[in-house]
Amino acid sequence: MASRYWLFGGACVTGFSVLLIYYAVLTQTTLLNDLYEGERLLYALLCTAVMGLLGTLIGLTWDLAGRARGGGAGRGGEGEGHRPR
Amino acid sequence: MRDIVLVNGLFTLSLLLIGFAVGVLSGFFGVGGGFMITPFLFSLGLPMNAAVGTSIAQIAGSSVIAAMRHRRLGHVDARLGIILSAGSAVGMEVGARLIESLEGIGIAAMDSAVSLTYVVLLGGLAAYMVNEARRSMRNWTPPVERGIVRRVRGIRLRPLLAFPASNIPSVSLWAVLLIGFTTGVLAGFMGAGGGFIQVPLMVYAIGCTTAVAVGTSALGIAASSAYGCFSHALKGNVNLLFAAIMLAGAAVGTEIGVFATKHVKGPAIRVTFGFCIGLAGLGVLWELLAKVTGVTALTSLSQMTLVLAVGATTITVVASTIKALRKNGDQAS
Repeated sequence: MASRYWLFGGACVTGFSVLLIYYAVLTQTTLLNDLYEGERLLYALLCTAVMGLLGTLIGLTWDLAGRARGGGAGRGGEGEGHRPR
Repeated sequence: MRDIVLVNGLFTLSLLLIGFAVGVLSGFFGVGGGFMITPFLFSLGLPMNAAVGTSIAQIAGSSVIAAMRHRRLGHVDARLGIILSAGSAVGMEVGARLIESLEGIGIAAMDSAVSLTYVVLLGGLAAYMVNEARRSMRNWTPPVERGIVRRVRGIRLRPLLAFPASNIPSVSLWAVLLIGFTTGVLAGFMGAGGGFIQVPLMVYAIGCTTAVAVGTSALGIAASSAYGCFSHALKGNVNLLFAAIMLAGAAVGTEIGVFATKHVKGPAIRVTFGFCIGLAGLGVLWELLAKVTGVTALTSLSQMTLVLAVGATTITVVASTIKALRKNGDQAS
């Protein structure tokens, strides 16, 4: 049950982040070429952090979803190193 | 107004779809997928520098998802990934300098050299992988028992390392670094992330299991694309909105790709990979011929071949996933 709350929380945070980026980019893209060097550095840090954070949140959400449906860790289906009996 | 909404809707939908397809490939093969997103964004009207930057930003996000999901499944060998990345970083610099020296000779010569390398490498790898994987499916001989792996593992130049997570009992550090370096040189020269070179090298040269090669490659791509994203954003080449929309599509696609690696056998992954990169190589060949002959129809053929490569692979992976889910459902009931 707790996993579902985590999943819901993760999905909410991810959705909110996307909306935030949407707003930030809508107001910034036209000005991108006029940015000062310091602002460009901030923008670069923001881009990297946002993509990394979004990736992490989505990854975590899928992890929690996997746990919630009972799919644990462990390799499967590789089929290498095994011969048919 | 209605037209603008419709065009924007279609545009967003196409970004979501390409993100989904790239996510599937990223999760299933451990590749970044830049070879597909960059021309796609370029065809949507973005300047080439923005297409490259935005593509790398999207890859940074989707490869983090792929690496995290593969880690959960035990498909990531972090130690092996770090050593390969160290070799690859040096190789990338060498590859970039090689391309610079070719640029000095002439842009046309450089374009032809890069395209030709793509055709030869993708075509050669595809033929080898499909042939080997089909033999594996028939005889069940894992790559670890074959000649190249035995020879590479036979190099006793110290220090020798063991990578239990990758099923490698002992291999020379220098052999692993050399594999990373080779990947880096080719990736730097061809302007790619290098996943499509690294995965086959890990499987066929050091005998890493396919799923671990895919997962470890995704981890390396996450690190290198994060740096690429920062560097391109600093130059104003990243459109964060487009990257985020594509990432939303990749969020679903990556999960499907990763899930499929858990249920599809190693040789089957390699056959699909071989067909995908073979078709991508054919696409580059058409483009090269279009430049040489000046026939514009060949450019369209090249784009169609790339779409076919991505579409067919995505459908195959999604179908395998659905089949695995049905099988699991049948077993459960």
